[in-house]
Amino acid sequence: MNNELLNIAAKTAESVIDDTDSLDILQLVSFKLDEIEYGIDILSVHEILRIPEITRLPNTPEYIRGVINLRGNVIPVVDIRLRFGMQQVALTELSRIIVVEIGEKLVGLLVDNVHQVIRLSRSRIDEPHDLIEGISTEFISGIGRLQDRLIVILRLDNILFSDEQ
Amino acid sequence: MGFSLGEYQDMFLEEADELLQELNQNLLKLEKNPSDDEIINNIFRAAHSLKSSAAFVGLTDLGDLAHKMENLLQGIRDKVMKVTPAIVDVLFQCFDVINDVIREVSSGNPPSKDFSSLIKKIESVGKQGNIQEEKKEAPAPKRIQLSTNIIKDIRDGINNGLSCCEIAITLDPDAAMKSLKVQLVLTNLEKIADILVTIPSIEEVSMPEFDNRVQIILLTSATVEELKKACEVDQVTRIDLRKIELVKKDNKVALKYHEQETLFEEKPEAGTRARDVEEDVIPDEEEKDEIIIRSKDDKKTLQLRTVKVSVEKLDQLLNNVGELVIANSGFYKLYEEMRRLNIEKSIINEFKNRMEQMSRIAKDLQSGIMKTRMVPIGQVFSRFNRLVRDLAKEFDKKVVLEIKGEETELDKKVIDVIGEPLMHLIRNAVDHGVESVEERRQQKKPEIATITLNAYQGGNQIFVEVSDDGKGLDLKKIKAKAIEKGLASPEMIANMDKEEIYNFIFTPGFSTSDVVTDISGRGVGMNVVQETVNELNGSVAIESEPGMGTRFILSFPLTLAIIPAIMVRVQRELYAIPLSDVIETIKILPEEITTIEGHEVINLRGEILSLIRLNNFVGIESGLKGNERMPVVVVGYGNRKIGIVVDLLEGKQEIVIKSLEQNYRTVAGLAGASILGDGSICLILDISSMINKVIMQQDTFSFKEKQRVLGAKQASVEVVKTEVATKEQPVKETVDMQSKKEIGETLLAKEMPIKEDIVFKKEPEEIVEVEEYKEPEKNYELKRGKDTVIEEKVHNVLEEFKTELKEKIKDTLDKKDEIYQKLGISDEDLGKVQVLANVGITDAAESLSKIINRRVDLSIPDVSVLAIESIPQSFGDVDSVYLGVYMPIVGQINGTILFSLREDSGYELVDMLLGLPQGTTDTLTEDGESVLKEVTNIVGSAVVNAFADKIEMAIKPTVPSVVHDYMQSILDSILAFHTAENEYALVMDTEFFHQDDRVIGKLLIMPTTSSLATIVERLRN
Repeated sequence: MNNELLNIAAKTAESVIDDTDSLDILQLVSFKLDEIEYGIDILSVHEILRIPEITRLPNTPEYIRGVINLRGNVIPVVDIRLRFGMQQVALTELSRIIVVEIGEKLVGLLVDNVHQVIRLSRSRIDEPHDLIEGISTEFISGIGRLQDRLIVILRLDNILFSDEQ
Repeated sequence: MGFSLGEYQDMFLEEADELLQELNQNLLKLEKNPSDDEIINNIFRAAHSLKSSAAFVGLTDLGDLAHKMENLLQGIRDKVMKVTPAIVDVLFQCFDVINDVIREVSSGNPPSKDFSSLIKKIESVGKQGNIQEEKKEAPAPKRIQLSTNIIKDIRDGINNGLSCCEIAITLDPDAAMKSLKVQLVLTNLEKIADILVTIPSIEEVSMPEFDNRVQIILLTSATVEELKKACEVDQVTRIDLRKIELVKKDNKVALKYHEQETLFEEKPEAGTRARDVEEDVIPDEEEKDEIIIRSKDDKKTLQLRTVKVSVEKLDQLLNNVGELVIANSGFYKLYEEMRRLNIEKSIINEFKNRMEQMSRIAKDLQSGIMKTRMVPIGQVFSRFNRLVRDLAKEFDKKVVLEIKGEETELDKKVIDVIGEPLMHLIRNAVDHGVESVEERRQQKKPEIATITLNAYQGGNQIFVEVSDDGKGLDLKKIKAKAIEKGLASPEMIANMDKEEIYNFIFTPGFSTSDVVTDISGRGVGMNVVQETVNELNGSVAIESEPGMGTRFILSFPLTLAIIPAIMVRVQRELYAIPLSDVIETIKILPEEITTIEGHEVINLRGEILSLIRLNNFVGIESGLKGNERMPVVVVGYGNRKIGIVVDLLEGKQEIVIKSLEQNYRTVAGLAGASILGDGSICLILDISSMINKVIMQQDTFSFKEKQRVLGAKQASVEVVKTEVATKEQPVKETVDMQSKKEIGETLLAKEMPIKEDIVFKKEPEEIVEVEEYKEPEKNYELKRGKDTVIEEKVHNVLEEFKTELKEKIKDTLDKKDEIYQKLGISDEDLGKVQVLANVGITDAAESLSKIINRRVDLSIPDVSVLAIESIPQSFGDVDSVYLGVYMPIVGQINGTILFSLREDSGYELVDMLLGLPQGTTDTLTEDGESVLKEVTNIVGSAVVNAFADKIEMAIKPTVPSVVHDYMQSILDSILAFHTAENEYALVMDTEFFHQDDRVIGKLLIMPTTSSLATIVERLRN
């Protein structure tokens, strides 16, 4: 885990502790897109990067932003906005790539920001439902409730490839 | 995996495989030199090791078999048996069976072989081979009679740094199962020593005469202590040891026995043996030598000093080192930066020194690891001795395999897969390439054919050759087969050079063999050869000379992990094109691009080159301005090529290939990615897929369109020399030297067919000007200068070539008299032929006039004998497009009749005969084609019939075919097919005219040379 992740963890740990008692706790790295908060299980997060140079990969779906050099590894970067069918936005200082492990592969997810690390009791996670605008349920593993916040917990299995591939 | 021999299985399999190789090799040698002791000993040793390791992993049956083999071999070694063909065959059978077992085990199956029949066989040949029945020495001899072989072994062993000694063990007289005890001792000793003689033999131990004492002479590197331990078996009461040394005496080498040392004694016996002197041994009055024991330089420790490493681990290391080399190059950037920033000189210099030192180390590391991946090809080559022997036997041919360059090292990856293609090539060579003994004798060739395997390095490539001195490839057969298979049209073939035609044999299912044998003829092997070689980024070239033999030259890049590439840009995006795919880099003007059916092409030196714009391929706008010269990288794959239009040629660079599949998946058009010195990623283009895509379109281009392009002006090509791309290239010196070579090759190769490349690469030093590396900034002007120099050179070479060609043609035209003489015909004969031609052609003109219902005039046939290559010239207007209808004639006279019409008169004829208004037909339709065929059929038949009548021979016209092409090509295809075996042809050339003197067409009658002789002979009588 790199510094960025630790910083976020340190900064946010105390504020979002929900249930402290059980082992049945899910830790999520969360980010926000258009006011909706998404979470990725911290166990599949490899590291979080500031945006490096991205090499465009021709002849691939639009949501593949390209490839980056991660210490000698060539890894693809998925633009989460495009993948979810949202409008693309310009990169900012806050933009990050969350590198996740999907199976054997390392994949970068391009997000607008990295918000917090959240601890969430599994009991507070609901089945995915259709409330979430626009995003296909194939990317959602559940909805977490944290005080008055709703966190869309992502399922990464289908994030890299479209069905037809 | 089902069956397993436990943790040592892999080790055993590998070792057994190696031993078998060795056994096969040596047995082949022994077959030729049955009395070579060294070979026998080697075989014996290998068989022995095989026995031990088989027993070790629990393959007892196999161990038994090996033991029987060993016994047989021991007989040979001890000269009680002779090497007979029967023995050799049985041993080969054993090797095969053992090989099968190894295969079975390695594929996870328990061994299923039953060895009993083979063991019986061994025993029976063993008895037959015995020179003297039971040449047993007296039981338990006190004096060891050493055979010269053993003395020789001892000498060799000692020379190799081993120690020799005699161990005598004494058994308790009351001990049970004495032979077992002795066996146990021997087994123990075998682990640490080479046992040369055991007296009495283990069989004799169980006999009543056994005196409880066994003497063992052995070679070892073990310590006395170790030997003692090995002999310490229950009920062994005494162990004595004497060291044996070599001494020189009267110019003779003798063995000297040191004084005996008793290592162990249960109950001290009275009266120690005093057997000091033997035969050629001088008594030793010196000190008891503290025996042995070298820890260095000896065999056993040497074995421990090599470590087997998996190729994956090496790959990983190589990968890391590649990263290191690349990462290191980042320092160069930093260095440049520091210089700009006016940092103190001494610091900069120190930095530079360190940086260069590091770069050197990284480079050494890289080449070191690369070297560890390199394996000598000899081990692959030597496997084929056996194959050639067996195949030669099977085909009843005499063939020897000559092996050269076995020390040449290749990448392990290549070594692992090269066996199969080589096997196919060798099989083909034995089956098809090499003639039978009978044929060879007739052709005054040595009865024994030679197949040569050779490997050598040239520049950045490794070459592996398989050549034979057989009959060579049958060009005619290949051509015919290619047409039969629909791989090419006759006119396409006529335009191909030899190499291109040879390449047809790589097509799947392509076989010119009339007979399919077990060995070859199915047309699969050659395809495997090409596929395998392609997978390794290599290529195959063929050289063949009728009657002289065929040579297949496989070439591979020196290493597979790092490849040289040409870097190109589209806007800011950087792409790499592997240099192995690049033929040349040129610049063209935008207005020289034309389109065929929407696809861009240029006329590159008289060839249609399809273009693909890289920016379109990668889906972005081009950064080129409309009017500037456009850089084009001409790439080839197989015998296809295309031009890739790019924005900028960046230069050459060595890159490490990374797969995209590892974290993503394969991407269309990309072969992978590479990480550059500054950490950025560049994508590697997959040239073969790009070419396939474009070529599919190109194949659909119509003939007319192609003609239009080829009729247009050729593109004014500017050849671009690609310099090494990057200033921060870490391994400057070497890389630059290499790239210079390659640039030279590329330049020189550009006027040549692609395959010629290989010929150059063999000896690059002869053709390449190697320049010292110059600082890039100074280099710019020099580069310009050099370009023009090279252009001039190329131009000059071309001019010379043209002049030479012209002279050659003139020569052949002037040789008329010579030709007549050679064919044994006179002007008189030719006069008679002319009369005959006149009759035939008058008949033909008559039939033509009947068909078109008009009068047809004809010129007096011009009859001449011409050399094949000058026929097109004699025709005159070879560069115009004609409608040619050719009709082979067969029977007692063979040859071709060609009726050729200019396009317009051809169409006119078609209109006339189809009853259409003049000018209707302007392309060659199916109807038009059949009309022309019919006309030729009638005209040609008239000629043939007239001939047949006159000379009273059976001649028959066959089905005519239409070719719409340049006259040159039409003639080429005919000449290639019907008179390919002849140097000369009789040409009867007549022109037909309409009433108004407009030409209708020309009729050419070309019998083959042999038919010409027949005709002349008939006419003389």
